Amino acid sequence: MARGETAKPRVAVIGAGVVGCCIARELCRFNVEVSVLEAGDDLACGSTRANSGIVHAGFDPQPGTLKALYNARGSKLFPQWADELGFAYFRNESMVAAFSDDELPGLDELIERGKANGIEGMRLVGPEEAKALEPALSSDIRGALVASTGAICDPYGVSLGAAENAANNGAEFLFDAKVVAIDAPGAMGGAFRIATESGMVVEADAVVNAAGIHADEINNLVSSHHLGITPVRGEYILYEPAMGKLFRRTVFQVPGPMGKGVLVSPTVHGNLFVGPNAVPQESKEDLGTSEEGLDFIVRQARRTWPEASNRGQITNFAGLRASGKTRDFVVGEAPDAPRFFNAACIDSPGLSSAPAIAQDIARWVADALGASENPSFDPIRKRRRLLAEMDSKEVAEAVKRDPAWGNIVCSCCKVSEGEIVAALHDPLPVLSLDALKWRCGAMMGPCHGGFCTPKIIRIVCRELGCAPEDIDKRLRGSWMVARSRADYLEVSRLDARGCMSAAQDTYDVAVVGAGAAGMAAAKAAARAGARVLMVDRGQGLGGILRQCVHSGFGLERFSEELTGPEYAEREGAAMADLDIAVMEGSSVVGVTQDGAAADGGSAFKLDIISPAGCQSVACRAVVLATGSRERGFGALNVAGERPSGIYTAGSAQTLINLQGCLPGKRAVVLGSGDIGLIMARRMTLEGMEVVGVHEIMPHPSGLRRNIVQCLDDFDIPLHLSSTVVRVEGSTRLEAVWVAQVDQQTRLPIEGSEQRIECDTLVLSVGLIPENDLAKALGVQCDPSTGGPKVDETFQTSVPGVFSCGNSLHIHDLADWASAEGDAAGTSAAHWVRAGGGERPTSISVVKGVCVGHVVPQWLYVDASEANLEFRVSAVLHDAVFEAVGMKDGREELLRKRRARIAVPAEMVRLSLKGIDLAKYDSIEVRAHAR
Amino acid sequence: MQGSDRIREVTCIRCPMGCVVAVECDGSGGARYVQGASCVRGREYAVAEATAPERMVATVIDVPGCPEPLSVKTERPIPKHLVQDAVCMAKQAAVALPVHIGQVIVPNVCGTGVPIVATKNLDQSFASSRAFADATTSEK
Repeated sequence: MARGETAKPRVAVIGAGVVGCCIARELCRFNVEVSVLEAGDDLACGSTRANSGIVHAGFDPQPGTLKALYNARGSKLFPQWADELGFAYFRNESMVAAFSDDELPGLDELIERGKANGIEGMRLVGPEEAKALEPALSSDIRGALVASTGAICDPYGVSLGAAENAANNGAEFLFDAKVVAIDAPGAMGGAFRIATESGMVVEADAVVNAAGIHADEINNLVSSHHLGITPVRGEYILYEPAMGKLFRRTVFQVPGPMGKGVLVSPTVHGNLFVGPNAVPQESKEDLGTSEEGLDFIVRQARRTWPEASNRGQITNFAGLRASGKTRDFVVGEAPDAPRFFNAACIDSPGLSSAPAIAQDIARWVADALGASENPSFDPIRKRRRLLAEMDSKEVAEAVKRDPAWGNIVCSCCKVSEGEIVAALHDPLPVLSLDALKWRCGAMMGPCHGGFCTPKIIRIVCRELGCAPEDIDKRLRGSWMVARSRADYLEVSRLDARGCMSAAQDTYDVAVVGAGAAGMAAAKAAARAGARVLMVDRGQGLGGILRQCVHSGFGLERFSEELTGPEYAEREGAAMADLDIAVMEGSSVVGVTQDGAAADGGSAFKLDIISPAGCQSVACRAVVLATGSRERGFGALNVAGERPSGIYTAGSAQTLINLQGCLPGKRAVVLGSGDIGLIMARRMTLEGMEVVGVHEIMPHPSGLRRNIVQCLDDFDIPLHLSSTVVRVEGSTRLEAVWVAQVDQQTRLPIEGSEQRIECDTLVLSVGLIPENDLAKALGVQCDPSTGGPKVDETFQTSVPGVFSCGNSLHIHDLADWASAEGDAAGTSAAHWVRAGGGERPTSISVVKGVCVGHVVPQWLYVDASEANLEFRVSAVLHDAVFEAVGMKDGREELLRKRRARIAVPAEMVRLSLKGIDLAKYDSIEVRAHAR
Repeated sequence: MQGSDRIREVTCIRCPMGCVVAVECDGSGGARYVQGASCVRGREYAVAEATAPERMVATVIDVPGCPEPLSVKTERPIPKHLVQDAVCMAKQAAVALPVHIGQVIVPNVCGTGVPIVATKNLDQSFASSRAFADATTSEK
């Protein structure tokens, strides 16, 4: 890189964490060339990535330290930076809570420290006020400090905002550029020569060391004033967005002899998290969580939030903090290395301090190089608005500009293909799926990318011209796919896209979902005389049936054994002669109830997005047949690192059966649900090695037929009472640790752990009914099914809203989901024809002993017949099923049926006929072994 | 225990009971029910499974010019030991668009006389070039 006399001086920034990105941005204010060298394949892939995301008010650091100075200044800069750079920042206030009288003096001490640090907006509150501010707080609360300038932000967003702004102002970002040597200029002057592992050499007139956890190594290449950094692991547990509103403020515990305590805080994405602990460790690479660590933070968090547990957990993760020997930041020019600047040993409050550190470093660098101010610097980074943030008019315009914005790829977070494509072509390259996730928000929802990851892999290949094997999840070596067809890239450009706009604006019945239940409901409603609209987000009818290429469908419904695609085709063919408008590739993104319901008018409005545009459709009844999603890895509280190679069975099925990709070479299956068993066979037939299936329960959760034909046939062992306790692998999965499970406590038995080498873990650990629309309508749900409560007509608690299929409760056979769709569709049509109206009195159906759940949950007293569908909660030999009428504490047996065996994997059906239900207060369903 | 290696245990899949049925093989391809079944269907299943086990086979194959693989199956169950061979044969079949459900992909798989047939309709409704270049709006 020879440079002429007139060339601008070059500054190399080592590290693209939040500090490096902020420094790069501030350097652009001066007439210098900025090159950022990052060892990883994305921004913020070190300490910044796994961080509390707190912008600290600044009362905590010891007065007089650099931490105190930069925290106070940085925190004040954040609102302006958030405006200029367009990242999420929310002043939710911080609270330090004392839970014993001994801790109260600690609050005073913090107030004093805060005053010395120049922090404003602090006040002490009593226990009542604290509890009023944060009702979820433990009632042990004695008092609290509230700091009004405490805030939360998205650390990745800060880094991205700063980096993109820097890039737009001319900075260059080099990824996979791990610095291994730096030649400092000699006594005669000249430039630094920085060599990377890949053999690249960058010359620079000044160097900024913002290498995070590795900043000591970089400093020690140049300066004899050696630094030493101890990586301190901090583990976190993240909870689902539904819990994000439990706390408004970030709640700290009073620092004491037992440590700093863990905090409970909402995130800017609406989740809740607890953590971190602080465990010094040797390794700078090991980001694994530990069982002890996770247990510790939950126990500690309970002091603040007594309900803290594993419930609602969506993931756990660990980050490393770069703790220096003096415990303070090291910021400034190295004493023996002119023009080499450190921003080192930046642990907490590093994020809060980053903007202020960046300002100082940039000015010092400019002074040292004699660089003038850059008059053309533009401090504003225009962030692309996300579809999820747009109002309907904006959405319509976006889709009109580019139909790809109407193709919702990630349904959980409402991210369209258009946004994904745009992010892939942004100035900062996207080199991993995680980078894409952080930049456009896809794959962040409750399904953890289970549905959308295969689709996104295809889009990435198409846009970047690469093969699926080349795609990494988060770091180099974290591959996603072991094998794909040779012409993958070619055919990825040929995606099917049939989409239709609704023919009319008004329908009698709208069916959401075109799986087994939805198709049946649409047909039944049309046959009963209703004008029907059926909307589905997928391409082609059939929902999940399309990827279930195995046979075993239709024995009940068609008296014939069919494969999933054949079953879907059979259902779809019968639709052609009926008055049903079909919208494929269309997502229902909103549903509202209209006031006109009582008059028998149009009761509901559905907002639908498709590549053809946005449309609002009115209808008088809605049938929700939205199916289910798979329980993901995050919910399982498994410790370890976060490598690629962990797939839900459904994702693996999509990859293999709908995309022709093989997810790995050697797999372990966790959970013996039917899809897991089916996938064990599919993977084997496709040439993968399946080492074994592990089931935490003492009995299989899948059907016997599948155990025999999918496992026994291929000599795949099934290990009952066994589970995965830890995953290993910093990039791709390398091994899982399994352990025997104690059936009393459901906890792993110590000493029974075993390591199994594998590159793929396939999860079949349960399905969760998907009910976002039902919840938006205020439908009452049953915690035992996860779906809406319904009556025997499949009507929910909201008149005119019906539910069927897996969104109502999880089925063992598609045939039963279809049968439910028949009933729900017919009921919806009848309800519309009857003009809605008052519903008769109903009694409740409750689950008794040995029953896991029962549907329906209500029966009308004038019902002539009803089918009760339920699952037993344990294996019962010589089972007896009973429906009992309850009245004033007395019981009356209404129906009794025997079976040789009942297993949780199979649904049990019990029909009630000709019973005067008005005589009872409720019906209880029970099962027992004779 | 001369005869014990002739005794085979078969898990019945006719119902969720999962009876473990003992069957005695006569060494020349026949078998006799011994014990363990709770019903006649179980006896029949176990004898058939011990003498001539059969399986349906389903897999997917790539079709040039079509991003979605074609799902296929054996039209009827085939001998269990031929399952993997049947998958390999299916994968080698050359298929061109369009394909309709029931279309024969391999006429006679592994000499069984059973064909492998398509279980999905695939046509040429794949637009060329980038996504939604010609997103069409149609009404049903």
